[in-house]
Amino acid sequence: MTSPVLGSQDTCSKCGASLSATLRHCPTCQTDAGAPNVRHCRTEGNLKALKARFDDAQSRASAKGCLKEFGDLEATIKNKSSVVVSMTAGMAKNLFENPNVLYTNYEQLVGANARKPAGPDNDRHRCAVGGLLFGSYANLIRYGALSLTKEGLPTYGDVHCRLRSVTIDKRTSFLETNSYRFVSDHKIVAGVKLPAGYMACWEYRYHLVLAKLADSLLVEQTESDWQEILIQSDGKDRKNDSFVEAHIYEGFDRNAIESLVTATGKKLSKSEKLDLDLAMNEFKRLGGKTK
Amino acid sequence: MIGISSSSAGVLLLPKPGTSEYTVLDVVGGRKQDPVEAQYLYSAAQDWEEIEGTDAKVLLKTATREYWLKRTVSLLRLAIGGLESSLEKRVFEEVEEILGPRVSSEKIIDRLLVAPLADPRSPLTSAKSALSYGFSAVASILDELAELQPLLHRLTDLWLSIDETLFSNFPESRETIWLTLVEKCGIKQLLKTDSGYKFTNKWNLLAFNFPSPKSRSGVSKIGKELSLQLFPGEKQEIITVSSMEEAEPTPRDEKDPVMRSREVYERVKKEIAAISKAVSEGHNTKAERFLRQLIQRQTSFSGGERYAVKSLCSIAQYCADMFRMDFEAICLDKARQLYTLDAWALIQYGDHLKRIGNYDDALEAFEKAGQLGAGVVAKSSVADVYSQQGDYAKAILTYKAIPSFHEYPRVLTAIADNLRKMGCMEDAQEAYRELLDFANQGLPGFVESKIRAQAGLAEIAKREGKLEEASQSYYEIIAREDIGDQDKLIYKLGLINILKLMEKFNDAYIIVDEVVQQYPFAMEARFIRGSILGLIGREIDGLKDLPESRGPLSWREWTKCYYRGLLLFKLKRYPDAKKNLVEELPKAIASGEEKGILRMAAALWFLREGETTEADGILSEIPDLHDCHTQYLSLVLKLHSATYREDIAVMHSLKKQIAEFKVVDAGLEKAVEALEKKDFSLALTYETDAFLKLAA
Repeated sequence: MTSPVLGSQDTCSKCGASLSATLRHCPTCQTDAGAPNVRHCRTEGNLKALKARFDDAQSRASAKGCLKEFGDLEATIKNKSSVVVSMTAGMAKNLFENPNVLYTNYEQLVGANARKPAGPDNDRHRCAVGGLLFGSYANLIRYGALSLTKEGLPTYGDVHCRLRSVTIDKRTSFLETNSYRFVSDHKIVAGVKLPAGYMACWEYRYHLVLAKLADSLLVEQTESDWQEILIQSDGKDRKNDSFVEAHIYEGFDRNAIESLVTATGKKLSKSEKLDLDLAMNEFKRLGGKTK
Repeated sequence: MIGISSSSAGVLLLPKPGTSEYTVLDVVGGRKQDPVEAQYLYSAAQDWEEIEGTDAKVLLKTATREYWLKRTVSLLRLAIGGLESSLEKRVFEEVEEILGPRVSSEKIIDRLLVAPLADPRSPLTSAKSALSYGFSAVASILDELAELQPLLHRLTDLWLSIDETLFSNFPESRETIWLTLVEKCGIKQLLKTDSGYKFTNKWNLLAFNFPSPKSRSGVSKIGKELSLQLFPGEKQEIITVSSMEEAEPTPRDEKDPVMRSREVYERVKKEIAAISKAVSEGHNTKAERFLRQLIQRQTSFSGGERYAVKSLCSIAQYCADMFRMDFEAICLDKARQLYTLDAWALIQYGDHLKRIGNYDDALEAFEKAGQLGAGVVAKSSVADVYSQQGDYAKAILTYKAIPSFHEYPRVLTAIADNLRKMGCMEDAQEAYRELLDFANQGLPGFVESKIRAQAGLAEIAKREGKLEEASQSYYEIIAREDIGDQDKLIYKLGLINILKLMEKFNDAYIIVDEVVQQYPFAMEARFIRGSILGLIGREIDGLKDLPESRGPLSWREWTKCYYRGLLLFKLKRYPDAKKNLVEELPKAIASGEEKGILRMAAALWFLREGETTEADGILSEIPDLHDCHTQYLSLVLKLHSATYREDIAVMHSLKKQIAEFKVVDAGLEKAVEALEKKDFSLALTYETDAFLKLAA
């Protein structure tokens, strides 16, 4: 798999050793260098390219008299957007299980990771696209969509989980569109450098959104209009779905969930409905206990 | 081949050959998933695990099995943690549906035993709820989980206190070993071991899950340590994995299938015995729970229904022997539900219906069994229905309607038996002797019938008063070594009845007591023992073998009421005696001569009350009696009534008939003498004993 190209300034802030583009920790002193996907977004080249695209978008918005809407959207993205992850009802139910409450000595007996994980040589769920974008840590990326509401990708999954930004902001990056489309549009193959300016870390996500959506802005648009253009899916060919894809490095637990909503218009089986109700029940029960 | 699965997502990733990509399969439906959608839906799953298999089909099967197991465990944990009632009920319903076809309760319990519960009694509340909704399988699991908590606590406390140095020589962590134990090695069975030896043996199976000899040896040593702590003071025969490997390096998976089958068979036998014991002790709930567990286990694999049906039929037979018709019905109903096409289970079911007097349904069941291929047996069973109803002629016609019936020794024997019951003694003797001839000629299949024919001739001899000859025949039969235990039981009972008539009560008692010890579920033997105890002056002890009846009686169960009534009569508890001898009479499923005996016993009660009209009425309804002892007693009772009424003519006639009897019965002779002296009380004593001696 191809690794993203390292910037020359990608060195450990503690010991000065060169950091691996795919590892979180410094290989020399093990200092936490931050999630590799976020580090990539913070390279000078990417930040500069992204800013340039943002400035250009702002100009175009101004030219068509939508500067106010441009500013409003920027504020909305900064204040109201977060990541929504879609999942099956079964996964949602499992997310809320907490064996530590039911059992005594649970962690002492089974350890923090209760399961035997897939070995390092077998990348979970790797697909060509993920590999092209993230190289060897593709299996550590959880996918979601940037959203202004509690809903995520329509027609995906049974449940939408909106995550608390404080639990993911340091380890989440964004891609301007869905990764399949991105790879196709930019003709990315193994060994080719990823184009700069199309990925953003948390604090610059609004750059990415506005660079993408400026041309779709219209006068007097409101938040609900923007949600519709932020996430678009016709449910026919998923590769054509348009949304700002979120990449969360490593997983999250029940405490990261801000809201849990059922996907609209979805016909659930009896078992799925049960799982959903159980997940909702547990979520409500924990409602006051999230950290 | 290695796949990656997530039980929470219910998906399996299968590697695409020649690429580093995966096909995504939904394990529930086995369908391929859109890879684009899969990326977004399943990336958040955190329980990915590698699984190995020879091909994709095997991987899918493994992933699916694991999915359902984890799902069930997850649902039960949520229930134990506490849910509001409507949600709880839905969870139980889902689990109950999954159990059996997809997942075994044994494995679920193992997984739930991953750690001790914070509140060890918490499953009991859920169990109670589950039972109230009718989800008995779920309730059973939760019950057992609660039961095992103390043992689990003990084991985990010891486990966590094991010195870390014991884990230092091999790579697997303490947690990994514990998880492997829970997931692969039957922790429940480990908890239930009752000796160090058994614990170590079971533990060592765990070791074979680890790849290197060093790991296996290390795990084995830990097991030794645990065993010493769990069973202190026990002389440990320490078997380590390394010594097992040196002696016979047989990997766990290559265990001899014959051995494995044998183990399974022995285990099931024990379980059947446990269930039967629980039924015999009246522990119905326990019996039902054990039964559910056995059936769940046996039906947890493909094709297991047949074994479950066999188990159910075995248990049903025990219940029939115990006259526990209720539990017999439960077992047979379940067997029929599991596998509706089992002809033999239908035959057994029909036999059950016949014994409870439900003749129409019995005939219907036999007809169905016949359609399923159990032709001769089904038709014979139909004939048995007529025989039990006392319509011996129709029974014989039905036997003879079986194509080539003369080639079936059992059918010929049944015809002979029915001739005997009809009172056609000469024809019956001829039929039995023909069977003996066939057997002596070495005709295949007739050897067993030879013994039945000998027994049949012995019964005729008994009825003719030739007790010495009859008992000798039975002694010869019992001495044979080529008879199965179950058949020997029947012949022993036959001998005991003759010894009773011969007034060899001690000999009879020794044999029947032995039979009861050997066959604790054979209630008929207990009834007979009760009658003998009554004959030797131990009426109170006898009553213990003849408990009060609850619910409707089945065929042959009338002997219990009959003997009980007679013992109560001897104890002068006349109202209770009336209940058993008079009130139960209409309910008795008996026919022919048996019915005659019951009527006579009812008449005895009325005679004691001086109600001769009633007694005479009953005695006049008695059908032809073919047994000389029964005939003799009938005459004595009539004499009793006539004497009471001072009907001289009838008395004279009856005395003449009695005098012509060639049968010697000291007790009835004394009864007649007592009647001469108008000592009705003494006469009743001898008459009562005569009833007790009568063969059932």
